[in-house]
Amino acid sequence: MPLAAVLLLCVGCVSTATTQKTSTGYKPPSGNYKVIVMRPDIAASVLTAGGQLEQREDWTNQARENVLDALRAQQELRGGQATVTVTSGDDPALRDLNRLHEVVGQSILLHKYNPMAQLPTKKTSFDWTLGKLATDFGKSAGYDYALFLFARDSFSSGGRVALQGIGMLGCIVGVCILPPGGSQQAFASLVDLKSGNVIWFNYNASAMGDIRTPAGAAELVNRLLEPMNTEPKAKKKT
Amino acid sequence: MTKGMKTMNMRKRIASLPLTLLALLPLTYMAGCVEGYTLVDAKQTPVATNAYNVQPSTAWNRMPKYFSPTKFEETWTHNGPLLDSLAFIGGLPEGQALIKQTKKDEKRAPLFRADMTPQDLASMVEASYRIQGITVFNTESVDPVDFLGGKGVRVRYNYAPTDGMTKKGSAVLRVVDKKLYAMKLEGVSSHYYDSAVSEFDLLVSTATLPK
Amino acid sequence: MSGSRRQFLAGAGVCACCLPAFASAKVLDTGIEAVIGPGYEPIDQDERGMWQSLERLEEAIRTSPKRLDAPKFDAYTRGVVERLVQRPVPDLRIYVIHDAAFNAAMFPNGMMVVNTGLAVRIRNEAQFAAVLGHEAGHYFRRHQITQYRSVRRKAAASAFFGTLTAIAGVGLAGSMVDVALLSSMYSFSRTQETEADAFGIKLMARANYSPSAASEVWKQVIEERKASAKLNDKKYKDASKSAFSTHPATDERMVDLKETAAKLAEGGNFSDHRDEWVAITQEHMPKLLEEQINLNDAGASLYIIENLAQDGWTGLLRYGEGEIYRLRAGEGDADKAAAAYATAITLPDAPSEAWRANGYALLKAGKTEEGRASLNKYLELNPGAKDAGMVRYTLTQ
Repeated sequence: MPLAAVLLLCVGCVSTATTQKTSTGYKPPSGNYKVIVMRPDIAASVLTAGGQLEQREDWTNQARENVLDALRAQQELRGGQATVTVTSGDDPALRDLNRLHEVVGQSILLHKYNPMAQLPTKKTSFDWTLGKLATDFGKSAGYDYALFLFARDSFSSGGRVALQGIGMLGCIVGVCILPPGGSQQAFASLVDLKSGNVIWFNYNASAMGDIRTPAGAAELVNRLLEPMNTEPKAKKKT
Repeated sequence: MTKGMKTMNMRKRIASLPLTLLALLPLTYMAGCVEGYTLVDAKQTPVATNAYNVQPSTAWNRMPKYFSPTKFEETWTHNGPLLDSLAFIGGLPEGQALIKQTKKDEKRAPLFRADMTPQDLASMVEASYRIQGITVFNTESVDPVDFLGGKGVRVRYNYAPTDGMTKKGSAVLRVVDKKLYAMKLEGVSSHYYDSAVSEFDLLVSTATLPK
Repeated sequence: MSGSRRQFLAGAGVCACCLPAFASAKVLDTGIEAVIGPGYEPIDQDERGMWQSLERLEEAIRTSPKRLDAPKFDAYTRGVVERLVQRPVPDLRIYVIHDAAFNAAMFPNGMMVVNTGLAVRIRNEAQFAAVLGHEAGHYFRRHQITQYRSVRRKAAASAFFGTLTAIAGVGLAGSMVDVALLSSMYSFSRTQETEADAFGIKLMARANYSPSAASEVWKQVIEERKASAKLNDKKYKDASKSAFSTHPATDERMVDLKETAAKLAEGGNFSDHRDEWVAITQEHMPKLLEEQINLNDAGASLYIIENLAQDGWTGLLRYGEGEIYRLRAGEGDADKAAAAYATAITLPDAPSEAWRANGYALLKAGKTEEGRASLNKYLELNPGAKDAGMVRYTLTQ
């Protein structure tokens, strides 16, 4: 991908706050419900001085464990029959479902979080679906909802931290170069398996938190998923 | 800020963008965030610079010009190009290809000729995909179809994109006055192609050339 | 040897027998030994990390829509590897991937990937063994972990990233595959390539495969690239390292391998097992040729077809030849295509598509009755043809 194309993107098109999207009339799951958590798509990497992302398997495994624990804890607090199942990559139906979700999730990110790529037909609505793949799965596996989680967390290597120092100094002198120390990007979707529709979606990019630690993972999970549990206010942000 | 610094600043910012958006950036805009998707109402609409008219029964989103660089083409989408896309080609003259190429490419996209047989037209579609790096492409059917007041060729196919799930497609092509007219629907094979294909078939059958 | 083939080779500017004069053509040191044995497991942390990343890659490949499910070919490949290493390899996993590039790779965690683009360019089992033996060399000499460490030290260019994740259909966005990992799997130093060549040819000779097959493989790759460049009016660059190739094909490597083969072949009884190779690839050849021909690189495709035809022109190869000309559609190509199709249908193994192509070509030339007869024959041979609807319609016009 040519960096030139990337450089022309207008800065500030991407929000760094948490902002959720929901379908019309969204009500958080309540009562007795069964939710399946898809194998979280998580990777933890080190951001090298050259700007490369190198995945660290040990960090990734740690992060995945922590996020799963946090998810279990969070769902337990909610009540309902939350089954946190770690799906493997082997079941073809789940694999297709995850692949489809990835493409739909990317589309939501692109068309709902970047004002320049907004789709006029979806300006005031949020309708994205996983269709029959999701409804068939819900029926055969006996779940009401499916929760998908995607997270990428990157950390500075030593070289990068040194660069940061220079950057901050540069800022004082009037020339601002602030390489981020590492950042965290995550999104989650809740799919109603009766309709197959994505009824809730949240995206978060932040420079804080470390999902390699249980506390960091819990913080991510809460920040990302807590809004799922409240009915949105009358005026929806879209 | 010097240009070099600005570049570095941008690079740092971009390095911080989520991987998902980084991957999608080529799908967004090139020339400075000016133009976006525009609404296509559910009524008779000219396409590909007035090459012909179609009658959509639902609203669509017209994709930014970046995706359709020549005046012979135009593309719409319902849910975004990652999920579905509907392309129109009108009045493409002989000697042009369906895809853009540099002189360096060893694989040459077939150039349209007015004397192309149905097999040649189908090959042009398949080759255009393969030359762009698609390695799994399966033709499902090739049939005659009414398009713009005469018989065209309809090729139905599926393929494995480099990213994501397999996609299905339907391409309708017809030569009129030595020029190529075509419509092509593509969609993710799970749900998205199926939910658009009846509208596509309707658009094909009701498309009309200008008087 | 048909006249057109001789002409073609001459036209490509390559003499089949002569090689460039290299003062330093050398015999490779085939005394090198494996540095790992069966059942090897990594100990170092970074190597374990590499294996874990490879696990993820393997899962992506295993479930990829690009994977060609070909159990007979997998078993055959396993057999060749076993003959090369002279012991069973129950832990080896083999994956064939739809990719028109000439490539194969053996990963340190015991996974082997073979491109369809390799299969279409190989003429016999000895040539296949040459490539597999070369890959085994990288494996047994632990070249990948060395490269992995080297790449991780530098801020390596991720030019490979996009193309290589494309192998597994693993998108950038969903990708959990390490950039450094992939770069290191596919780029080796010259010393490492030489070692792999030496190791591979040693294994071949020991398993009684014709050692000369190794240099033949590279000769074919080089000649194909020259043919492609010529028909595209471009300059051929020796050792042009394409992003896809594990093996930068150079005249030097080819010459060294030829020299080494001559030495090893002294007083031996070798075979190239062509019949076995043909038998096992036969069912896949139509699809493999379609994948290559539809790239519309006429020089390369014609070379490949002519190369395969050295063992005899078949209906499938003549049909392929016709398709190449039909697609290119340059001046005079329509006639060349028509001639090729006309020949194809006289041969016993002609695919039904040859009758279709022949029919359309005849119609185009104004020979309506013959054209229709040929199209009808196509429908007769292939009543469930995917384009039967279109052909039937054409017959009503």
